[in-house]
Formats: sequence, C-alpha cells, structure tokens
Amino acid sequence: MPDTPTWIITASGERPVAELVASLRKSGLVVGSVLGEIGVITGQCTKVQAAALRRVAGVADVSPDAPVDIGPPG
Amino acid sequence: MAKRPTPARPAPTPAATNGIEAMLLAAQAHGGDSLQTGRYLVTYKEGAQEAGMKAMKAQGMRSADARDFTNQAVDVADVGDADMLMFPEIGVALVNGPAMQARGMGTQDEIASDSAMQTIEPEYFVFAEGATDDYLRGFLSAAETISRDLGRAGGRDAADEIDAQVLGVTWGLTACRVPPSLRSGAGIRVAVLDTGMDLGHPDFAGRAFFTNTFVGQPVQDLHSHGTHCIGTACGPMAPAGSTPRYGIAHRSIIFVGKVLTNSGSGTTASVLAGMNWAIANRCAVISMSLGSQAPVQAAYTAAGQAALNNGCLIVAASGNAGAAAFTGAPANSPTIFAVASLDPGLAPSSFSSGGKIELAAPGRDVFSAVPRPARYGIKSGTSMATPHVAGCAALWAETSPNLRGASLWARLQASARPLPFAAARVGRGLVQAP
Repeated sequence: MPDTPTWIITASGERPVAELVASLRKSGLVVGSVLGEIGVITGQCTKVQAAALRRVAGVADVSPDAPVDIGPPG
Repeated sequence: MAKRPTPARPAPTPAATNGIEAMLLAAQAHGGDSLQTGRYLVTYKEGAQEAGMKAMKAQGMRSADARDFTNQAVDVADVGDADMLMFPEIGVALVNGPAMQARGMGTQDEIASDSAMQTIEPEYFVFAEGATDDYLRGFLSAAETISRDLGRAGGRDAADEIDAQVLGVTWGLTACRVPPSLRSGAGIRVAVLDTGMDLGHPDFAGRAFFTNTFVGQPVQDLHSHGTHCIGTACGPMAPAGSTPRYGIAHRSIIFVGKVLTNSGSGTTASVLAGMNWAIANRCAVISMSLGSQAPVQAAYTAAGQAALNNGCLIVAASGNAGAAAFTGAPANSPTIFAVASLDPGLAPSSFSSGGKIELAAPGRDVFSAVPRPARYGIKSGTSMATPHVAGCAALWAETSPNLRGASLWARLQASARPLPFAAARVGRGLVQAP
C-alpha cells in the first residue's frame, strides 16, 4: 500500500478551478476539498504523483499538509 | 448575572419553523442536551450548494430562500412552515429536526464523498446561567493585581501608564485605549479560527454564534484557547459583578471556526478550510492565533489575498519561538497581518517571534474567558495579542464601510501608538482603538 499523504495545491488563477480539479484528478489526486474562495485544493496522492501535479497547468504550488498548533506558551 | 439576552434583532441564525422561545420551551420539555435547538445546519461543498439544495427539494423538503427576503435579511416570522431555510450566498441550509429525521439524515451519518454536503451540524443556542461566583472573582482580582505588579517590576518608563489603568478593565484593553472608544463592533463579522468556543459561557448569553468545525469535533471548546481568544476579541462590555472588562468588540457578530482540535493541534488543510469559510461569509476580520515555524506557504498567501480582495482582513500571531525566531506561517505571508506580543510594561515579550511584524498588542498575562466551570483565566502568547488587534480592527471597521481589507490594514497601522523598539519586534507599534 503506497503512502498517500495529504497535499495542498494552490491554483495560479489562470484556469477555472473546476477545470483544474479535473486535471488534478487525471494526474492521480484523490480530491479532498475544493476551497473555491481562496483557490486551494486539498487531496491525497503519492509523492511521485505530487511531483507531477506541479507541472499541471494552473498550479502555482504543491506543498505537503503540515501540523499547525497554538504553540507555547499560549 | 450576565445581562439578559437581547432578543435576536435580525436573527443571525433564523428559524426554519420555530421562534427561539418556542424552541427553548421544546428543549426544556424533552430535557437532555439543552444546548441544541433541534435544527441542523447543512453546509454544502464549494460550488455544490445549488445541486445540494435541489436534492433536498427533490426529497420533498419545503424550502424558503434567503434571496426571497429584502437584502437577504430573513425575518423569522416570515419563514412560515418551511422545513428548511437556504442561504445560497454561504452555501448553508438550516433544516428542522423532524424534516431531517423523516429523511433519515443526522449528524452522525458519514457523508458520502460524492455528496454535495460537507457537514451536518446541530444548531446551538445559548442562555445565561445566573449563578455568580464570588470566590472566583476574588481570585481574579488578586490575579489582576499580581499581573499589574509584575508589569510594574519590568515596566520602567511605562509605570505611569500602568498606574493610569482604568479599574475594572484588563491592562490590555487599557493599553489599546478600548474603554474610551465609543465603538462596539456592531454588525461587524469577526471570525476566530481556533479550538472552538464554550457556546454556553454566561458572558456570551444572548450572543449568536455562527459555527463550523473543520476537525471532525463539535465546536464546543474543550481546550480553552479558542474561548480565551474570542473573549478578548468579542467579549462583553460589562461582565457580571466585579469581573473586569476583557472583551473589545462586544456587539460584533461571532463566527467560530474550529480548525484546531481539543488538544490544540490541526493541519494546514483544516486551517485553510476555515479561512475559506470565513471569507465566504465575508467576515471583515479573521483572527488566527495559530501557526507553525514554517517558511511562507503559498496557500496562506493566496488565502490572504482572497481575503483582501473580498474586504476581509486576516490577522495572525507571529509565533512564540522568541526574538531569534522568524515570524511563523501563516503570519509570515505578505497578505496576512502579523501581530507580536507586548508585556504589561509595553516592551516586547521575550517569547514573541519577530521579523515580519505589522503591529504589536498585549500578549502577556492576558485575562479573558475560558470554558465553564472556570469561566476566566490568564494566558500569555502572541495568540493573546492577536485577538486584541482583531477586536480593535472590528471597532475600526464599524467606523466606516470603506475600512475593509487593505484600507483597514493601513488604518490599523497608521493609528498605532509608536513604541521605542525595532519594527522587527513591534511593527508600527501598539494597536489603538478608534
């Protein structure tokens, strides 16, 4: 079973989001959520597939999902 | 005893079928979890709301549409016997309980990944608990005094400032010049993306909450960080008894986005989902007391830009990794307003990360609300500084409909009180209320 981490894909705005989502799916992304207001798509795929997502037209950035917290001392 | 709730003016969570009083009576009659109104909020996935709402109608739901009301200001009394009330602008439907049950829908259901629905959540209401707690108040008073003394010990030049504190107000609100402000944040939407909120906190009786969770846990805050932040940004003008005033935008409209779990952690994906929601709801101020020691993230920058484009301002904590550490994400994004922390002596807090900083605000020994039964507590961090800026931003936003997004950003900086420290530590200085 290949490791499929979650990725954050930021759209460049050059293509309609719906069209971009379809392309990302074709490239192997299992789409989680489409955040239309901010032009961000989250989803899961392997590292190799994620590298390919970076070359999809309309993609500005692909980054791994990462932990966020409130941090000390708060 | 907190002030009695003012009956909902333009009810922010309008009834699908019942008035608030009727629902309260019904809830009391059947006992159990009285925080739930018996109605549900169905949130649709981005772009899927039309299809989703059509599907509900196809199942025989009688619906009312917010667009049918002038300016989409829904009057509870005019909704009639509809099973659901749709808010197409925000992709949300308010559905009555029996209508949900009749169609076998519930909050426990796993939503199919191809469904138009994103979440089904119970709607909550809030009512006051009358009890006062003198013991706790005494403790708080002592804590405030200790906090003041600590501030004086390190205070140097600012000692006069501390002595001038208004009795019955936290040091932070005094420093931000909140007590003399005539503004209340009335009508301004403030989103706090954090660990949720104690929806039954007596100081918030009568305040309506728009809520959503992005971490799979109920919005009810079992951590306390979120309640504390909301307390500072949106808490009451006059809490019960001798509790000092700790809240700024006391008449703002509160949007609670739970993007961190009850253990205080989350991921970029859940935080982005919360930002998307707050922007979709056109919250003028979005407060984010969270982050990670990461370089600038493109997605946060895009979200910050989308916010500014839509008249929203995102304020975020610089981080608590100390002066040697650079501002963390998301505050390090150029489109997000970074907030550093000050001690009661108005010097930068030792824990406050620096580098890219827009403004500073009180962040050490901050008194605010925490979930019941404690109700009040003191916390420190850039997390606590951030809602001071968010609250003041809401007050500024109330002064003019033109102060939104980038213009609100500029006004907050232009009106700040300069401080004798590097911009990398305090930005343009201490945030000030209008």
